[in-house]
Amino acid sequence: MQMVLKNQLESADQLSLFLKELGIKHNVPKNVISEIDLALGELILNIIKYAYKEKQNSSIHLECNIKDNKITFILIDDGAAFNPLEYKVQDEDIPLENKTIGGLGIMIVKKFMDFITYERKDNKNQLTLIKLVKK
Amino acid sequence: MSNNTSEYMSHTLESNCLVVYVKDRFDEKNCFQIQDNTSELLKKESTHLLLDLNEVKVIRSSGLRVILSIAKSFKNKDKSFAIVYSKNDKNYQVSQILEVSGFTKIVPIYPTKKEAIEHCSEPSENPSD
Repeated sequence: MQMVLKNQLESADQLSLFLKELGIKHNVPKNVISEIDLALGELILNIIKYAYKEKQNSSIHLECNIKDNKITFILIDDGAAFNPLEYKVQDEDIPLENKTIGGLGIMIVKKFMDFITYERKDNKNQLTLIKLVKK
Repeated sequence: MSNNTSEYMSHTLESNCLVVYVKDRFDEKNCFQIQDNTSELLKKESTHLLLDLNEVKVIRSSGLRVILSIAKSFKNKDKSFAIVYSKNDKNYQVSQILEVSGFTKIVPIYPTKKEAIEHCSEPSENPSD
């Protein structure tokens, strides 16, 4: 399964619909679909906000493969090079006064996905993300 | 009790608590508007603040950022800030994101508005410490 998302905020809603259908079709539990939605949504919104500052008509490609209990997503965009994995994730237990606004999105991605890799290939950002479905 | 509604939120004022009800979503599309409207309301009247997230089906880190910013602004105030939220079939994304980000440890969360108001009426207590 694959989809193409436009460089606009509404794409996050499109993603949610796509994932809901995927969940129904492949019988993936709702809470797992919701976690994937939270993680991929952050990445897509991040790409829209930062990678495409100067490009208006770009699109983001999302591919999805399901095998046994493993769901693999490949997210490709041709925006500015950006490796979200380089961001340091803050510890969720730090007190309020030390908690910062930055890095919350990537924290969500890392917590909800089981395996993430980043590559810069042919002037494109490519993220591979795996979610393991525990049954 | 006063009542006011907009596309993204509504609010009431009761027992010295401003209660802000976020509608449907708390993300890039509405979070700054909610933040601005809430701080305008608090400027008019300095009260406790309860953020009701029971109707929120979609939440993103931008919503969390607003919660964090509000929580920090209440840190040194003599007023309290709390979230009103009780998990159900439609709003469970809220608990997923609050738990994973550690926000359940820094902002008090009450299952009902009544309990949150009771907490706000208690003398000098700051559960986020």
